[in-house]
Amino acid sequence: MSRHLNPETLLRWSDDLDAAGRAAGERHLAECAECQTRRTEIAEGWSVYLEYRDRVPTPSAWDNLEAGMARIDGRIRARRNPPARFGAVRRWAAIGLAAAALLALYYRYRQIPSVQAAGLLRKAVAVAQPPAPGARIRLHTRRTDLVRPASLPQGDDSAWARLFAQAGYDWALPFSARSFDGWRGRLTDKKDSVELQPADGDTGAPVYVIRTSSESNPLASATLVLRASDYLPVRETLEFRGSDALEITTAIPSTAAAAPAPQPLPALPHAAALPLAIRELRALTALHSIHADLGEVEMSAADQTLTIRSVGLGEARRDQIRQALASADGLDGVELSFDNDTHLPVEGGRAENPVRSAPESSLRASLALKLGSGVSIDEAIDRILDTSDAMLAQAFALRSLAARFPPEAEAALAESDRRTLAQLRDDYSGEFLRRFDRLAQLLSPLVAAVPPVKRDPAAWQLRAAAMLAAAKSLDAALSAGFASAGAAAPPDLMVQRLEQALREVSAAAGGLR
Amino acid sequence: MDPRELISQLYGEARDDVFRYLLAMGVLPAHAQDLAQESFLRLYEKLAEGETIREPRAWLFRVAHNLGVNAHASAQAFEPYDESVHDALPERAAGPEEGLIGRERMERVERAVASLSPQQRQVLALRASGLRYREIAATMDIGVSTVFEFVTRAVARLRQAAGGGGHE
Repeated sequence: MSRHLNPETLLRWSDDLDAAGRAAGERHLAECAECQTRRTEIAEGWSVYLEYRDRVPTPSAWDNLEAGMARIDGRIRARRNPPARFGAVRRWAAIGLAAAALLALYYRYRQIPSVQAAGLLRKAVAVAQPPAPGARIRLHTRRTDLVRPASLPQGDDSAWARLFAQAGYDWALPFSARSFDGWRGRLTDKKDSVELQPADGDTGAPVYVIRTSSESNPLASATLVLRASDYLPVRETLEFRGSDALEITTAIPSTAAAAPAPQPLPALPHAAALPLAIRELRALTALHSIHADLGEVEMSAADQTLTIRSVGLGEARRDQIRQALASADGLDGVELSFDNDTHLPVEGGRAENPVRSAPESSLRASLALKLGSGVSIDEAIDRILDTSDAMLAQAFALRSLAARFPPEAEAALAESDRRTLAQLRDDYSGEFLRRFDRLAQLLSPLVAAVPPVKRDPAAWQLRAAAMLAAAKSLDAALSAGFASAGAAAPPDLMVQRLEQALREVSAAAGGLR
Repeated sequence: MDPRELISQLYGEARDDVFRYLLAMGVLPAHAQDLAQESFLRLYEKLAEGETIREPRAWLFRVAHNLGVNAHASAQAFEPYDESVHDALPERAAGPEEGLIGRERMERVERAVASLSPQQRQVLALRASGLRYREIAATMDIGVSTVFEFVTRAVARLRQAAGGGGHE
């Protein structure tokens, strides 16, 4: 008789034993009772384990991953479209000299200008509202000064309109993050810079200054100044080739009165116009079902027409959106506008694990100390910042919902539509709270527990605005503490700021629990 | 296959397995679900970036393993295995013919599982999730022969606990 089969052979019997090994084993088993017994015992042991395993309860409900995958798609698009100055470095990297060194600069991808710009614009687009009726903007160059409606219908044939059209910039709504983002997204070559100014020269408030330039576009560079507190545009400067720089600002009423007669304003629908409101609700519900309602598309309503726009989506995602909207009842006449996406071919040379070796921020060092050496500090901080991003997305969605359906519009809805609206509201707020709890847990090594807050009887529409403001403060505190290298404030002050921001979010969201 | 399709399919097929594996690592159930979902998203990111992953399922468990190791350091996310899982096990719906004997047998099995080493529980969970032995070894960063040793000892102990007799 041959030697007894070893445990390895017996364990591998069921699947990955090769044919020769199995044949030899079969011959041995046929004449060896001891090995037969051991094989049976192993099978019995496995059977016991599988019986036990089947009794371990698994979650009854799982999140849909669509929203997460959409966020990842956005990040990848941003990574594939780096500023030109990084392109040169990548070419060096391609010949093997500096890829690792380049990636070492990527302490956090949100710090790369193109990604930071994309992130800021995404937030600004998400919070943007259609211009109020009567809103005017001022267009100023060295030689001209013009006041016009903030939003114009299509069909204008002025010299400015033609210039904007050549550049691919939306003349109908030029003073908006969406138009800036749309133009920027179409550029095949671009260079971004982002700066946070503590005090804007005009307003005195902190602002983000996003500047994007292109070598090939008729619009050589565009600068958008966003108020840091709410991402609303403060000022925009467009530098067309061969033309004077054009500065756009909101026109104050006195300026408007002295200006040339404005063109007729397009009629804007009242928020409570029932048929349109219901269609908006159904469109939102359809988008929500595929998690496309968190900043991926923008929905606007004008002249009883619902328009859904997006930039940079892949064809598969567009199809999903089309199908979701097509399957919703009573949603005829929705205009879909998918601008050509900005997908670029995959560039080689991206290292699997980028090294993030920026100078340490104060909170980063504190957290690393608390977590100990067994935990990746980069992953921990990524998780914290990603959770804050996810919170913000829900807060933006809730605030947009509140703006679309103020209390009087909600009251005008039929009972079934009110329930649908409540479901959307609860989904956003529930996910927001879930992320917030997770964030508090992730930060627990650093900060004190957030005390429970009493219920707030205020209307949810009012709380939504407070939640968004608080979530933005928290996000800013986190970015200052973790994502900014060499933060000036000492750790204990940063921790206090974080604790305060957490309490504010908890207070703002208290009534939703 | 399109990354979204692949992830959707894999998510349907393997999320419970990944969840169970994280439980086997001692991660609390609520946190295990988060980490399981995170594992799928990380796989999606790699695929969407155009990377070729020959064994996505094994890669998924490898990521889950790393996430579980990180969670291990957080007291809020990690509890001793027997407290996190066995308390959550539903009462077994035993028929009259099984009765007390069946319940006692399963209690012995549960105690035996709790008494296994973390690595033994992990190899069992991975093997039961369909990973091959070399994939288990790569996931846990141990040798294949060590995997065999863990499995052999673990199944022997479980068989013994279930009352099947034999020896370890």
